[in-house]
Amino acid sequence: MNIKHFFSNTIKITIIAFIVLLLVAIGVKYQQPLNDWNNSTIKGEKKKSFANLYLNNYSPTSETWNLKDKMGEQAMVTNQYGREVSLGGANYRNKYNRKFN
Amino acid sequence: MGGLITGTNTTENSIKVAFNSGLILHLSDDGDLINRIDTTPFLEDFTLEKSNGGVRAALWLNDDLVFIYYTASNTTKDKFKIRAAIVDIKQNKSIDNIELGKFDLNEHYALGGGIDYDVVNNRVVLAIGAASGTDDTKTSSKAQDDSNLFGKIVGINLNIKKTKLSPPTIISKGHRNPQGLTLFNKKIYAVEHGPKGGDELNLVSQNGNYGWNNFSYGTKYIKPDEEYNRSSNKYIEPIYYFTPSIGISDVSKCPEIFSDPGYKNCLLISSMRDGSFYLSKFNPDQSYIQSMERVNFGSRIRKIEGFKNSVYLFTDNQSIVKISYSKL
Repeated sequence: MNIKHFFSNTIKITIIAFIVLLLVAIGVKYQQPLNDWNNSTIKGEKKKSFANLYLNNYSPTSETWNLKDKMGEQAMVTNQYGREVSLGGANYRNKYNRKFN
Repeated sequence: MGGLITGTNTTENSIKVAFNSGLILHLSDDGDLINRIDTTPFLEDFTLEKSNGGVRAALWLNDDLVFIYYTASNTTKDKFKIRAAIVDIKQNKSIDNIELGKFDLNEHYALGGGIDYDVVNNRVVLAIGAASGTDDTKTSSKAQDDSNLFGKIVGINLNIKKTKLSPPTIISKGHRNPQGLTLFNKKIYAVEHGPKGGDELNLVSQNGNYGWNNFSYGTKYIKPDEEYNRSSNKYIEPIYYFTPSIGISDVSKCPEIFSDPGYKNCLLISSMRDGSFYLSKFNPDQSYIQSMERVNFGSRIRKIEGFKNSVYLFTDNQSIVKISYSKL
């Protein structure tokens, strides 16, 4: 083997190794689990909130109403998960003069 | 400020929400506050002393009368009761009130609270929990004892005006901690928390025994996990169970708009821990479930209702989410 032949083989091996590594890197980057079809969007299917495969036949819209500002101003603390619980009416404590823990 | 939502009523023009604190909010169908009612002055010996205390379930008998299942205590707060009352929220007065059972301070867990109105028999169908302690393997044998109402689903007949409560009769027993109940085409469906895993959807039959505290698909609160009996001819199996637990919280009819073939027999099931709701599709005679489809929401859902073209979610962060569906 002369030097020219040696460098020629080295270049070939290097190129092949680079291509292999490149394919491995692409495979790692874009790998998907075998059951990935289960999570992917099927042609014609739309991904949206409050839907699943069946409910994709429907168009959902949502609105949210916060009840905290409607519950009155006074609160009491119970050991119910450490939460404060609304007493009810804003003047409850004065009106009925009852004490809670 | 907070409180757990323990009763809901959705109609054409309004939404009513009951909290465990005894508070009732009356909202318009746009979510505006119409009225705020404190029912606690009309609930004999009402207490919110311990976890799971207070109003456990509320059912609107009509616009004015509300049936309320709640916990009560004596003044020294060492003896507790479960009671049922009819409250007139228009005239602000108690109409009737009966005692359902007694329990101790350490039995505040698993008091249940599923409820619905049985039109055919003019009765309230109420699911009562087993009233267990933290170690429920020792203290919840009440569910198998016919001499009390704990761990039972009971029927409470009403007079024609719905102003008088009759003594409860036991429909079924062996329930641990029922969270929701609905009558669907004259059949009673109830959901209940299992011990650790084994959240159940049950089709409730007269004189049925649902197995607690001997039979469950959950495991005991000890380490290493120890299973309950999972095979017995003596007990009725759930028609569906979730292990691990989803924190099952309520069951309701699907909205009318879900009318495609195969979805006419459909129930909504909500979850707290899983933060989602499920469409459970039944076979035509509603004896078993053909599919259970999860819809992710992302937050704890305490109550759920299907009405017309909407699903109403009542969450643990005190909000109502109305999801309106229209057909594509």
